[in-house]
Amino acid sequence: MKKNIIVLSAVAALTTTAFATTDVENRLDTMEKKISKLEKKLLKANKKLNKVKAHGAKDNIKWDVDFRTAMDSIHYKHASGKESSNPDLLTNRLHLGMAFSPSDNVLFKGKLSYYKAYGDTANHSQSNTQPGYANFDWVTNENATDNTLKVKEAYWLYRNDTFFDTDVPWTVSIGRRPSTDGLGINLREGMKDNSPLSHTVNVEFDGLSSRFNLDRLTGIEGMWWKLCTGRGLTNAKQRFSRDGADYAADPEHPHDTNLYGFIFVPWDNGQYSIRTNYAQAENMIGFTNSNIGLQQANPNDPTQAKFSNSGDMTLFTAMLKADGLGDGVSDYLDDTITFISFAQSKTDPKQSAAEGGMLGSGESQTGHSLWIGANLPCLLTEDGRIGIEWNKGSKYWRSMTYGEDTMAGSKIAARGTALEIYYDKPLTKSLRFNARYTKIKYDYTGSQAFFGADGTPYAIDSAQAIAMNSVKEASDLRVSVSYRF
Amino acid sequence: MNKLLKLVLAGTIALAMSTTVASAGVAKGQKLFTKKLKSACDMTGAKMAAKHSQDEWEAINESGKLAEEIKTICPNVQKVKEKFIPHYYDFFYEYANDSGNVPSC
Repeated sequence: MKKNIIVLSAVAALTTTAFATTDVENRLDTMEKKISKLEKKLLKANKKLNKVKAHGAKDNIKWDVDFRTAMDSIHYKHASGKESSNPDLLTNRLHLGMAFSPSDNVLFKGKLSYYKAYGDTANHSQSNTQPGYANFDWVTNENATDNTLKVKEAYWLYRNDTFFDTDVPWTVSIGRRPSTDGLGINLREGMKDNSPLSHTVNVEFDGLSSRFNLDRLTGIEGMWWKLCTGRGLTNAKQRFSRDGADYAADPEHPHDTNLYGFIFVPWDNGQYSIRTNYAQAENMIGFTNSNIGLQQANPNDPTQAKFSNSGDMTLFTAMLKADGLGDGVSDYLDDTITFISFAQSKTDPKQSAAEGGMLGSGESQTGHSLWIGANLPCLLTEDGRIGIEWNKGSKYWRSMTYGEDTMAGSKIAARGTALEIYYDKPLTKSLRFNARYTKIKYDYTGSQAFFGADGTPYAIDSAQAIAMNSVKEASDLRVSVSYRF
Repeated sequence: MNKLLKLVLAGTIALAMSTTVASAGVAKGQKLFTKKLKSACDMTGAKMAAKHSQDEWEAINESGKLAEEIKTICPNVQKVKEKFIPHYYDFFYEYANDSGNVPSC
């Protein structure tokens, strides 16, 4: 009897266990199926989320901010022996960058700008523009003026991987160009370079550019060519003119100033590159001797200053740049940037010699400039960079670098020698410190002038230079902190 | 220059000499791409970054397979230096196809 009970109990237990195992397996199967379904649903949801994210990201303008507070300590020595200075000029500069790419082929970019010295100005004009040309269109966002927000850049760009079925990626772009802070001058600010080589062109500009990447077509690494053209001055009467000829050309004023040129990079392997820039500018403005006489006779009447068509100008630059020296020799050399740039300017005067011609000469004059720079990792700090630059310009050297971000005047424009040292370092991911010292020694007058008799190069120790109280030496020590994000 | 300005200046310079920021960055990654990979990849950095979404780049980077992925997309790339990986990642992530960010042209 007992044996039977034991046997029956054992059978019952085994049967129950077998059923329980089957039940667990079934449940696990069901759970696995459910998890698999959930995974599929999650994957779908993720895909949808990514699509929504991508759509959302491309459905609005992306903003970036560059807000800089700077203190400049500026000193001038004049040919007459006098000195002038401002030991602590404080400024705020705001750049609000915009970018929007609604499709893969088209993008829009823009930059709004504000740049002002602290507080009101001593003469209560608040703008530092009368008398003078601080708000001239080419430089209106590069000079400390008033508290208005202005457009520094605004352009659309179309791009395509093929040009009429050839393997030539190309772009075309129209608007207010990113034509300041180009290659060379960008290094001291730790910025990415803008379009033109800054040895000859560093001004705001409205126009068109079209770039063609020729590396696949020619087999030459990094080769590209870019057409640049536009208008630097428009001669048009104002709306509601008294004679009813709204926006008609005004014969009392100089013709439109037009510019044609190109940037050609014959070779660029990402580390070493050769870059060239050619520009032909027509109807450049300046003052004649007669007009300078009028201005001197009426120093308090800014309306006496009237531009004339001084002539045409040809500018050329060739730059060699090394972004790293050698390959893997050391981290220091890998991270060292050096460049050497040669530039030439040539005038084609349209005013007579008696009226000062172009740059004070009735004949075509050629000027030259050499610029050398190095941007190196700082050995004292892990992520700081130091730089040194030197440039020298000849008697008739004339660049279009009025928009250069140097308070004491464009160092690149110097008919003389300029030396600069700087230190640039990120403080946090968004704050950046910069210290820079620039010293300019002029050999001739007229470096920062327009293109007429006002640009005459008198030797800096000549009687004319002394009589004009021309600047013989200029220096600018700047310390700034920028927020960039 | 008044005393306050001198003080601010001295403080800023001291801060600038002493702080260190993690140096991986978008700009550095973009520069390295141009220098080391662009030719072998035969495409711009923007196109390379747009090969994946931000989540995808993040997953690839976290699994330690960024170098492998670069070689997959660019078969001509022989070697990807380990020390450059964080910079490449920052750049790819910034301009991923769902970032909405627009690289300079």
